[in-house]
Amino acid sequence: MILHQYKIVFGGTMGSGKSTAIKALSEIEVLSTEALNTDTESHDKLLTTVGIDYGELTLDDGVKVGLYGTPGQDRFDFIWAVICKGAIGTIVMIDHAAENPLLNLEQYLQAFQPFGHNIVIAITHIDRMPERTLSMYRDWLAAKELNYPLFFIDARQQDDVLLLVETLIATIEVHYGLTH
Amino acid sequence: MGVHQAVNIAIFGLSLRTLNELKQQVQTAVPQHVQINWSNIAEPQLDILMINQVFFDSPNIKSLLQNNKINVLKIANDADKNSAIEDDTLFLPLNHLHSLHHWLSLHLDERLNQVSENIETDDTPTFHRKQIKEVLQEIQNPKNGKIQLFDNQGLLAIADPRNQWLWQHPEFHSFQTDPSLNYTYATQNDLHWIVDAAQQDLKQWLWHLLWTSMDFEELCPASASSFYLQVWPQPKNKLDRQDILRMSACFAQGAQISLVAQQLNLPEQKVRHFVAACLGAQCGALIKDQQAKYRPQTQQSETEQHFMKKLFGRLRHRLGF
Repeated sequence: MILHQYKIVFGGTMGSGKSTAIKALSEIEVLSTEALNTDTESHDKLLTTVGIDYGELTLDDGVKVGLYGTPGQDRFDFIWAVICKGAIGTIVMIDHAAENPLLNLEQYLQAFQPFGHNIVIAITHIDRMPERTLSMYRDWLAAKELNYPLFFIDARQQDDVLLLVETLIATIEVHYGLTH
Repeated sequence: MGVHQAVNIAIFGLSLRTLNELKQQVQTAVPQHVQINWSNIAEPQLDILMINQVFFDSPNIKSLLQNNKINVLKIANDADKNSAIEDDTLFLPLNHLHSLHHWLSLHLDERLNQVSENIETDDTPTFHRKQIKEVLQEIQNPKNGKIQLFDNQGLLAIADPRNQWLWQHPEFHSFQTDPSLNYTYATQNDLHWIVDAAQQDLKQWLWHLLWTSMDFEELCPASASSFYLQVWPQPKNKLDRQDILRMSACFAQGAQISLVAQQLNLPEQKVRHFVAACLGAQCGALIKDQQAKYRPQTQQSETEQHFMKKLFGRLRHRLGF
């Protein structure tokens, strides 16, 4: 695998929709290194990402932007540092229906913050747990004095995934004064 | 204006249910610093009497009104008149509160002016400004159970401020409102249709409603200079997504409104409209200019800047932004 110069990282819990989001954007068939999930306590998904997923976008001038999905299981977290170096930004995806989504959010933010603060949080599967409020994420961020963009999305919808990427781009454009 | 101004209001000749409903509605129309004393018609200092039209011509009432300067609102039933007030007569059922609020603002201000020389004389608009802020606060007050949101066009949605959920009424297609926006408590009978409606996030819905509606600019006072965004609005369509995200990215650092307008090449009025929607939906707060941290980085060379601009321009083009 070639590590692209320009990349966008998708990180988050198992079953949160990282692979689906990358598939929604990639112009090549996404290469996923999936295997039988042995961590059935965390999630009942049959296959899970044990290596990394990657997809690709090619710009007009031939420049390629890599779309990287990082491992869903903590024991692969050594890979994150390699992937995140020089990334445009990171999309942290959290499964709303997971047992403890706030704990997942905390862990993934802690994992990605050292590599940069251009982070967007995407909460997925909100329809699977309608009795659980969405405001808990805002309250949690406010309590931690964080104000990352937090969006509720369906990873199968390309437009929802595009919103996440456009947010990363808008943040960089504004930061470097590229908006004129 | 004094903090503890009070008005004496009596309601006469209505069923208990209508009476309670009317009391709630009147309460929402009165500024917080004004205390309502619910009185009976024997109260010698009565300011406002709301009376069933049927009883208005009775000798006792005639006598009471002859001897006292009381503002009278007659109450009648006429569904075709859609909650209007004509010749000091309010026509039930109450589908919207615009007329009632207007009537109260005129008569309360008249009354409060007599009490305090300091009261603002520009009655209706000032009254409304205070009112809409209070309404928006109550729509998001976690102490409230399920409430109905409506304006003078009809019902917009049911909100659950406690859990920050919202269900949009299927007939609310325009997705625009005006400062007649208001709320009332919802009963079980009012909730039957929400089973079939999509459950939405209250804060995001409210932000979009204010963003797509006009006449809420006053939520962002003319004196407002800098703003800090705590909660990013989630854009719904591509049309204005770029502007919304860029403004959000600036204000998330705390930014001066004028600098954001200049940097993003947007009219300041549009940026103020964004801030107004954010303030109304409690997505952030006004800050002092010294607290605004947003300064675009300009250390990179012109070549670097040109290169980055090109790269992100191509990425935007590739993704169809």
